[in-house]
Amino acid sequence: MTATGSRVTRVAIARGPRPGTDRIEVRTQDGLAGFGEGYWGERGLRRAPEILLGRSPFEAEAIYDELAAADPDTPGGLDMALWDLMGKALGTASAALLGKTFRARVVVCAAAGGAGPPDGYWMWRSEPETAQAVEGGFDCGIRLTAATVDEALAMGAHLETRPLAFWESPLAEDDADGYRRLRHALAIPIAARGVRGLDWLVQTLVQHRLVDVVVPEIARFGLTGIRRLAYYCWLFRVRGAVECSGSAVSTAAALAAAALYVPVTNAIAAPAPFVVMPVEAEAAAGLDAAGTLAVSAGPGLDIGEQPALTAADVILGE
Amino acid sequence: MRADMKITRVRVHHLAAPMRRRFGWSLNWTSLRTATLVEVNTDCGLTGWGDGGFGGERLRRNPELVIGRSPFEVEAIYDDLRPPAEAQHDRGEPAGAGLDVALWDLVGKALDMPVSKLLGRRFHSRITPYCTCMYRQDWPDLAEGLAEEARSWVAKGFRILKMKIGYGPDLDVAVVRAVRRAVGADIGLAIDANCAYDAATALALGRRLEEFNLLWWEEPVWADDLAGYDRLRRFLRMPLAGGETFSADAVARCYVAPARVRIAQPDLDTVGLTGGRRIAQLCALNGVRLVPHNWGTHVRTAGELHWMAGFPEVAGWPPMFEFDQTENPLRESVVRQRIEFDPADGRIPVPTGPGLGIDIVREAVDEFRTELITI
Repeated sequence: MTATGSRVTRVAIARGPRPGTDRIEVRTQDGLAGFGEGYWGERGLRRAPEILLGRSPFEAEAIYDELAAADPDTPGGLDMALWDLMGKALGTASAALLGKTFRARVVVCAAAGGAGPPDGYWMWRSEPETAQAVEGGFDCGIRLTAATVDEALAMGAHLETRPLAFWESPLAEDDADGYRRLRHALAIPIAARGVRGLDWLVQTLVQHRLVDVVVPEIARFGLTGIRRLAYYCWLFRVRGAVECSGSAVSTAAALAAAALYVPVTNAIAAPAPFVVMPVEAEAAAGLDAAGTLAVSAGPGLDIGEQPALTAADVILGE
Repeated sequence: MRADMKITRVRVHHLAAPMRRRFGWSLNWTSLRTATLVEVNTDCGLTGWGDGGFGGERLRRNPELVIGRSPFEVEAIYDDLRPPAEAQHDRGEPAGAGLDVALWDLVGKALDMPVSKLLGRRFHSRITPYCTCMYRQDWPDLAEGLAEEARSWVAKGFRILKMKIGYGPDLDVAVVRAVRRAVGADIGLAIDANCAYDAATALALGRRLEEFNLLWWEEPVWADDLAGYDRLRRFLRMPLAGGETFSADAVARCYVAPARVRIAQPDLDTVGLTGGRRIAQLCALNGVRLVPHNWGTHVRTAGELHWMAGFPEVAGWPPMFEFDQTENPLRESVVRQRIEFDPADGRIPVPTGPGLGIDIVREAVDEFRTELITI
């Protein structure tokens, strides 16, 4: 068993093909490596690497907030790597350290087009170009953003004629008044991604129940952020979900995060949290007949051997 | 240090100590101080301590919720100690706040780090206390007695005092006037009615008290009289405070999210550090000041200092917590370290040692123990 007192000595970043997909490796002095994918607080970490280097992975909460204060993109990917490290240091699943887990498997929502769920999935989210193109379905969510509140209300009037699991990002998320108007005018479940960050999401949309569902990106929110959000979702009766890139580490982290959402009701068939991921994701190979994936049993995020980032784009520390 | 340490035993020490002189508040008189210390032992020899609830019947009937688990599962254990959800009812409120603090103490000791570094970002290394004092006494002239007592606390260096009221509107006005005159305009003065009034009486009294420039009015009405709080908030300029008897969930839902009070006052013995961190984040988002209630031993005081280290300034106010100065033979005697405020700057340093940064005086625990529960 590894000692728990070790400190971070090195962080390596390999740039991903698009924002929020950088691969992150954090190493400690005793040779452990934790992996993540997503944002890593680049601005803050470059300016003050001591926010991470030399500290214990068990200071993840503090590291998260200190980097978030210095960078508009909260360090969700780096946070994943720290929780992976903590689990490995203790020989246990990251999910068990995060809090009470309410499920061992999580429903997967395929991010895909089409009129029905792709093979193997029971839930899907499409990104139609117009409201008229939406066929809908009780297990279908859509992401479609209107330019104005009036346009969103018109779209909503059309969308209300068919079943929908959720309507994600109907408006720019900084338009709180717009969300309030949609809330009062429409019966469609409204979802938000939290693109303005955790604080905004909780303060403006969740605690005032202006949305029914939240779909935060694990790459941005990390496990620390979604753990906080999960509590506020339960407190204010908002349903939780997580979006991930579909890579092994991102999926493992998203599943661990989704396990933390408290059931919204006590019913056997209560509306469940879900993880949104690309339909072609490798991780989808593990889907069972019910369209669910298992939460990692550890240690850490349990993503298996990963190649060391020896020639990474950014290396801080040794 | 073994990373796979497991909890082997929980011991609950109920303590009591008689006081030399009784005191009273709006609800009662007392001549006895009590406390519940929770001791958590592990298979690697480490022990954690907390002051507050231990999980009660839920833990007695389900010891596996704690025994055999890792202290690092503290967040999960906190929620596991809620009564489970029933058919048409949501899950209940956490019952193991003192045990939660003991687990954080253990995690800190295991990592050789102070709890404040584990809870999150640290904004402060020294915390401002306010002096809780000026209870009802068996004095022939209560107003004069309280005025004299108030002068003594100011002479010791305290800059913020809280006094009890709730003895009837006329006497309340008389005692607050006497204390304000005694300490002058520069000393912060808060009042606490311990839920003595209905909203109508509180409103009438509040208007009479506003001339005394009070920092806050704590528990003017029943804690669950939310409409009453709303009415007072609408008509009084004086900030309202409350929350000491509520769970973390109730403080967040009832007081913080609607900003029903300007100052939330949960107690660590009810919310624990896990719940306390959850409330703190919501308070900061809503611009509600967090000024914890603290009515226990210095085990609890140490926990509150670690908690407050991570709370940012709100509306220009530094974090503050209750520093009980009433007679309590238990408070200092069960902890080896002295937790004292520094008259130079009026603040108390956050302990820097591993865990809570305190050592328990077992002889004192044994001396004052009235009941021992072992799980």
